[in-house]
Amino acid sequence: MCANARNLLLLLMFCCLPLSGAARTQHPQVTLIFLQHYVEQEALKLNARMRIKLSDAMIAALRHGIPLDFDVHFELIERTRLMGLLPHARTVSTLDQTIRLAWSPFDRSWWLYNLRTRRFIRAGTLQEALEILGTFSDIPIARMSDLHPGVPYVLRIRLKLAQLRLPPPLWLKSLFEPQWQLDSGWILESIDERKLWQR
Amino acid sequence: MAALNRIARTLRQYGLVSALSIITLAALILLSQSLQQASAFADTYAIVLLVAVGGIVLLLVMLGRTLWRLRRQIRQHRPGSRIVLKLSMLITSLVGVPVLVIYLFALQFLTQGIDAWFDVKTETALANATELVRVTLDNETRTLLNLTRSSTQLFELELTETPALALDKMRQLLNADEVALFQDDQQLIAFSAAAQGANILPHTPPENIFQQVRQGRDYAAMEYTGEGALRHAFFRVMIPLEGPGERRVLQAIFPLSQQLVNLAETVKTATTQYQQRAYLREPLKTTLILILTLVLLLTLFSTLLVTIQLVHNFTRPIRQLTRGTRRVATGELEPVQADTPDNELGELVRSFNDMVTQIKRARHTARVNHQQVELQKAYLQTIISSLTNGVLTFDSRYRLRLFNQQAEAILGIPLHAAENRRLNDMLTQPAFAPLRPLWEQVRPLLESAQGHWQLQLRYRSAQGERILLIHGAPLPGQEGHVLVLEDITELVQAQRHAAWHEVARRLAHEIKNPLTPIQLSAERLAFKLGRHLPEAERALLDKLTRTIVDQVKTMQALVDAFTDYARTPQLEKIPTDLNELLEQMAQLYAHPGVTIELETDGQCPPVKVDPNRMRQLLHNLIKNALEATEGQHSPTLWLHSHCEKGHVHLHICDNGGGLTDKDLSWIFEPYATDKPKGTGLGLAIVKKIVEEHNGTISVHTDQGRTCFMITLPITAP
Repeated sequence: MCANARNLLLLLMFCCLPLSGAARTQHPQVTLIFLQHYVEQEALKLNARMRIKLSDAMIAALRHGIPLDFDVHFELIERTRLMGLLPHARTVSTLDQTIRLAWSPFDRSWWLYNLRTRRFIRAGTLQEALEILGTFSDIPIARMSDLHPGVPYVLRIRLKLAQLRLPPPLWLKSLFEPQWQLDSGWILESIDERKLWQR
Repeated sequence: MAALNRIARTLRQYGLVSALSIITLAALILLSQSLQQASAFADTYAIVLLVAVGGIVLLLVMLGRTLWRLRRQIRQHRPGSRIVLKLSMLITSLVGVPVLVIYLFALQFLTQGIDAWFDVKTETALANATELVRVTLDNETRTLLNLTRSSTQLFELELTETPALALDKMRQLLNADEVALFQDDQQLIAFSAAAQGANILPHTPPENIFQQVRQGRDYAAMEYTGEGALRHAFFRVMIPLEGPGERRVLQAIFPLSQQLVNLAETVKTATTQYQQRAYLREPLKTTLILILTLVLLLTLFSTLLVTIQLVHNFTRPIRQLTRGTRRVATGELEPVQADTPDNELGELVRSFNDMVTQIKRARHTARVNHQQVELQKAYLQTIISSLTNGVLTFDSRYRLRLFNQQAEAILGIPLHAAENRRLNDMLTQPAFAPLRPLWEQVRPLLESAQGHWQLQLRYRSAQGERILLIHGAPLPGQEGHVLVLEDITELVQAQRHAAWHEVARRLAHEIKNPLTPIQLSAERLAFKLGRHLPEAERALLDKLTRTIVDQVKTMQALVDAFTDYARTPQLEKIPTDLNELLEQMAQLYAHPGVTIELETDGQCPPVKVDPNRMRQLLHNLIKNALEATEGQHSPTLWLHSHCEKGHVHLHICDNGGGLTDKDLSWIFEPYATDKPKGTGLGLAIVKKIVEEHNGTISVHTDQGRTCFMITLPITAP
C-alpha cells in the first residue's frame, strides 16, 4: 500500500514538477571533444568524438537487459542570404544513424549495433562501449560536387537518446525525468573554406 | 421537425461531452495498447498522452464551469437549481462510490498482480540457468581454444610447408567446420572446410578481432551469423602463429550443438525478459495506475456532466412549472411553453396549462363583465350627470357613495370632500354646515322609510334660500339609499307670478271700473251738498269727499300698476343705444344731494329692445335705488354698461345699505317691498321686462352696496 500511495503521489505531481529525487542523482551528459572535417576522395568527411556519460538509471536499465538506442544526426547547412538581405539556411545533406547499446549477461560484454549498417561491435567494458559510441571516423557528409565555392557551410551534429524506442513503461519516465534526458543538442562547426577548395 | 429539434438539442447538450469522452477514451485505449505494441505507438505516444490528459482537463474545465453556473443559479434562487444539485450529487454518489471502490480494488489487484510476477526463487533459478549456460559455453570455448593450440603445436612444421594438407588434418582432428590460415594482412593462405562445394569460403574474421589477434592475443568466442531463420551460432577461435619471417593467424570455426544453442537462447530470452520486466515493474505500475486513474477521472467527470444535464432536463418541467406559477402569481396567465415529456411531469405541465387556460378564460369573462358593469356605471353616471336634479346615494352606514354635479350646484357644497365618508362626520365642518338642518329632517326618513318618500323644505346656503323637493328611496337589498334633490324654487316662484298675474288682472278688471264712478260721485256729492250745508259741516264734507277722492286716486294708481304688471304688451323691438338710454335716465334723475356715476362701454352696439319697456325698467331700478339711498350720508348711484361675448351687461348699483339674505330670496316677488310707499311691483315688473327680452337679472349685495345686474342678448339689428 505504501508503494501504491507513492505511485499515486507521483501521478499527481508528474505533470507539475520534476521528481525531487532526480536532482540528487547523476544526470546524463554528452560533451564534444572534437569535430573535424576534411576532404577525401571528392567527399567532405568528418571525424568527431564525444564523451558520453550515462545516468545511473540508464546503466541500471542496461544491466537489466534493456537496450538503449541513440540517434546520431549529421547535417550540412548552406547559409546564404535571399536577395542579399534575408538570411536563409538550406540543408545540403543529412545523415542519420541509430546505434543500439546492449549488455549481454552471457558473455558479460557490451554490444553496439548500428541499425543502419547492421554492424556489431563488441566491447569488454561500458566505458569502452561508450567511447566507441561517441567516436565517429571517416563519416562522409557530402559530395564535393554538391558544394559551391564561396558559399559558407555549417556542419552540425547531434546525439540523443531515442526515448520513444525504450520499452513503453519507461516512456513516461523518459519524458519527464532528467535522468532520461540525454541530448547533446545541435553542435555547430563552420566549414573552413580553405580546407574545401585548397587542393 | 420536432424530431430534428430534439436531435439538435440532444447534440447540443451531450455532443461535446460525448465527443470529448469518446476521444479521451480512445486515447486511453491507445495508451494501454502502447504497452503491448510499442513500435506502433512510438511516434504518437506523446500526442496520445497529451490528448488523453487534455481531454480529462477539458472535461474538468467543463465540469467546473457547469458547477459554477449551478452555484450561481442556486444563489440567484433559480427554480429547480437546488433539486438539480441534490439529484446530481445523489446519482453521482450512486455511480461514483462503486466506481471508486472498483478503482481502489483494481489498483490493489494491479500492484499485487505485477509484484506477483516476480519472486526470489524464479530470479535465482534464472540467474543460475544463465550462469550454467555461461559456464558451459566458457568451458566449451576454453576447451576448443586449448585443442586448437595443441593442434597448432602438433602441425607447426606442416603448417609452414604444406598448409592446406595440415589444415585438413587439423580440421579432421579438431572436428571443426572450418580451419583457415591467414597472413598478417588478412590475406588467406589456405583453408579446409567440412562442407563440400567449391564456393564455400571461410568466415572472414572482423577487423577488430583480427587486430586483437595481431597484437598476440588469442580469441575464442561464440558468435552468430546469418539473419532470421538462417541465423546460427558457432565458435570462433583465432590464434596468432609466429613463423620465420612472417606472422600468421589460424582461425578455426567449430559447430555448436543446436540443442545447446536452443537451450541457451531460451535461457537468455527468459532471463532478459525477466530482468527487463523486473526493472520495468515500477514504471509499468505507474503507467497502468496513470491509465486507470485517467479512466476513473474520465468516468467520474463525464458521468457527473451527463448526470447534471440529465437531471437538468428531467427537472425542466418543474422549473417551467415554478416559473409558470410565479407568473400566474403576478397575474400573467400564460401557459408553460414546454416540450412536455411523456410522463407524470408532462401530465403535470399539461394540467397546469389547462388550469391556466381556464383561469385566463374566467378572468377574461370577469373582465368583460366588469367592463360591462363599468359601462353601465358610466352610462348611469352620464344619465345622472345630465339630470337637472341632484342625486345622492348613501350606503347602509350613510357614507356618501355617489353624487352628481347638479347635487353640488343645488346644495352649494363641495360634495367630493365627503365622498365615501359618513355624512354625520362631515357636518361638523363649516362648509357642510348648511346641510345640517336638511340632514336632520332627512335622516329620520332614511332610517324609517320602507319605500319611496318625498319631502319639500327650504334650504338656505351661501347662494340664498332655495325650495327643495327631496325624493328618497332605499336601494335594492337594503344596501343604502338614494336621494333625488329637485330645486323647485323657480317653479314655486313661477306659480306665484302666475297667481299674482291673475290677481292683477282681476284687480284691473273688477276694481278699476267702479273707481271712476266712486270718484265722480264723491266730487258731485261735495259739489251738490256743500252749498247747502253750514260752513263747519261743509268743511267736514269737503274733507271727507277729498279723502274719498284721494283714496280712489291711490287705488287707481295701484290698479294701474297691477294692470301694467298683468298686461302682456306687444314688444316693439328696435335697435336701441342702451348707453344713450342710460345717459338720458341719469340726466332725468340728476338733482342735488344725489351722485350718479355713469360709466358706459363705447364698444357696445345698438341692442334690439323695446325702448319704452327698457326705459320703464331703468326708471323702476333707478327709482328703487334712490328710495333705498334716502337718508344715507352721501347717496350715490352707479350706472354701468359693458358688452362681452354677444351680451350687454347693465349694472345699476347703489349704496343704500344693502339687502338681507331673506330680501335677496324674494326681492323680485310682487308685493315684496318693505317700504311704506309704493306698489311693491316695481322690481317684479323689472324682472318681467328682462324676461320678455330673453335676459337675466340678479342681485348682489355686499357691505352696504347693492347691484342689480342685467344681461341681455345683443340681437343683430
